[in-house]
Amino acid sequence: MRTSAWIAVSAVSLSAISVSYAKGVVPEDANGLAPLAPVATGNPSPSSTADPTSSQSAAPQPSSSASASAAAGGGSGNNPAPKPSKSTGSSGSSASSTPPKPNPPPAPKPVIKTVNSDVINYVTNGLQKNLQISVTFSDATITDIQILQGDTNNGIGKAYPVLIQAAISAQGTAFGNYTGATYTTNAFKTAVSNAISKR
Amino acid sequence: MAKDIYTSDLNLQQKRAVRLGSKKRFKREREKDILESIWVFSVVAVICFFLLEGGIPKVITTQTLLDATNRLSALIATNLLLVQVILISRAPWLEKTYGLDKTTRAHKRLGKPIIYLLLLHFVSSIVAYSVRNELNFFEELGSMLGEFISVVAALIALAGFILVVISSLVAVRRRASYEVWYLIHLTSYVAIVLAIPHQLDLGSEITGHPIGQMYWLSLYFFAAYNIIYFRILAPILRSVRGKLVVSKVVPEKNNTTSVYVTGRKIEKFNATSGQFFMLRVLTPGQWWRPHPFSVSASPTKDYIRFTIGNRGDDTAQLQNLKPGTRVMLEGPFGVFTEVVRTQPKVLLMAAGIGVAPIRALVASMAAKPGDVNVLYRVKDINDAALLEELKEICNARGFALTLSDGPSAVERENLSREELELRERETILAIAPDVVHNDVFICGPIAWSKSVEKTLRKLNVPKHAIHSEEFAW
Repeated sequence: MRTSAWIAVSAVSLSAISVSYAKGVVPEDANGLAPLAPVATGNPSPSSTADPTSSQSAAPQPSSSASASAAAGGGSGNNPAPKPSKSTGSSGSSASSTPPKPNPPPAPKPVIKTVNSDVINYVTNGLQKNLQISVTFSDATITDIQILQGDTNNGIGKAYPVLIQAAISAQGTAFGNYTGATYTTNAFKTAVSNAISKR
Repeated sequence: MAKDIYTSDLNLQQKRAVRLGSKKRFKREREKDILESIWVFSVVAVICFFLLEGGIPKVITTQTLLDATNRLSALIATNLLLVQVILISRAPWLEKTYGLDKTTRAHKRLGKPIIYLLLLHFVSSIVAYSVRNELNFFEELGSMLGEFISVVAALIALAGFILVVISSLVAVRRRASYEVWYLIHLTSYVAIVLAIPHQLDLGSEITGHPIGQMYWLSLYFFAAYNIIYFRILAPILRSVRGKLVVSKVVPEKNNTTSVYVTGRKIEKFNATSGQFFMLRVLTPGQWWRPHPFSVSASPTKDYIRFTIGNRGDDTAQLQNLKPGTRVMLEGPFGVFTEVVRTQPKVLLMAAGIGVAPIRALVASMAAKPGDVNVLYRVKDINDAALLEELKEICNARGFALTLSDGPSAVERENLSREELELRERETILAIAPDVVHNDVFICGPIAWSKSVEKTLRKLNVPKHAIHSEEFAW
């Protein structure tokens, strides 16, 4: 290549790269996970918190982060460690999601409902994987998601908290893939849609 | 018997024009610039796409850095690997601009950087996952291998690529035979395919986004099309349709033989003087080993002639080819032809078996008497293949032919580089005093061509006017 052409090509390339870097930088992504791109439509903020009464009934709400971190903990300790047992997971979620407190204000009370998805079977490279989640709805709003059973090998466990956050903020499945866990992402989305349809 | 054939080649000379001048050169350089920019931009596009998707987040931690290194090195390496495939596909659109030796050289140069990128990808991916999983490197590697069959395949692919690059290192290459090297090199195709599953399994850049998907899919298909069609199907189809056979084998001088290949519509190959073909002799022992041979007479509609020197390997067996043997031709290749010529005056320099393309050029070059000077260098006059033909053509066309025989000056007198250069200088200036304004075509052993090229540069012959053909595998 002639020098002049080479200079032109390098200049264009460098500017293209720097522009894409500037555009692509995600403001806060502290845990270094690949960015998910939630297509934020509808009502991203949990509507239930606006209601003073429901703040109690939506008790599992703060536990959404707690459950996420629990899943993350399970994920980080994962590999040789036993998988988070299904029974405790399911019982925990059902227990936490059924606290109908005996204060009956006449205000329209959101219906809290926890739905377990079907067990989603998916295959990664010939290996059979199962994923089952439970989704907690406050009326039509997804307020919490728990992993009842799921693969946690190879850092996949770390994907769940991120996927859960993404699904809650997208209120559905319109979000990007978790880098390195494409199949798990897809299975997770299937499970979320499945739970929504069962609600 | 050979005589009547080559004189017919001389009689073929029809009046034809060749475009000359610097405009032609600039046009060729522009074509090269465009092609090279395209592949640079393909890599840049991959990087940009990665960044646009937030490949490098604002907060840079060890984890993000490892992730980014892991993915970016994989993406660039994959892109370059596919460029490698295209470079070696011998596609005519690439071939007519660069010539096979240039594309092959680019292919050779790109090999090592790709291996470094792949190793970087391998190490950084395992480290990135092991940090995430709080495992040590080998535990993580083990768990990845146990978990993903595709990762096992990718690791085998990596080993294959490393083997290919090692076998191509100059030091190894000198020792191993062409055949061994060729067989090892075939594993790179297997390796490319073996690496695909783990990209689909774990690489969301490839499967995750529609634009990314489209880019990678089309790049894979483009590379596959070029290599499968141009490198494999086209030669087979043309050879089968043309029913190519060796029609005649004529011993020339010591250790050289001319082989005439004929077939139906053989002129459809559109070969010109100075080009070469990969010749595959379809016998049980040799069909898988093609060898490059230059056309040694202007191709006609009846035959293509090759003149083959005995280098001791497979070429020894080719000396005993039987007429009627089926052959396959890949080609024509090379721009050691008049497409690179920009000057009216030409100096043709041949050494040893390098005479073959020079002989063809002498017969076919568009020139007035006196425009072309020929230097033919041989160690032993008894080895001077095609000398009689050269003499006859030069006489008929009014070109000056200089034969220089005897052992090379270096061997004889242990000359230093300076002394050698002085002699070469004298020789060249004696033949073509105005060599600065000549196009110089050089074909011969690499050491000799390099030395002559250096001398010519010292004589202020511009680089773009020096055309030298290496037989590049």
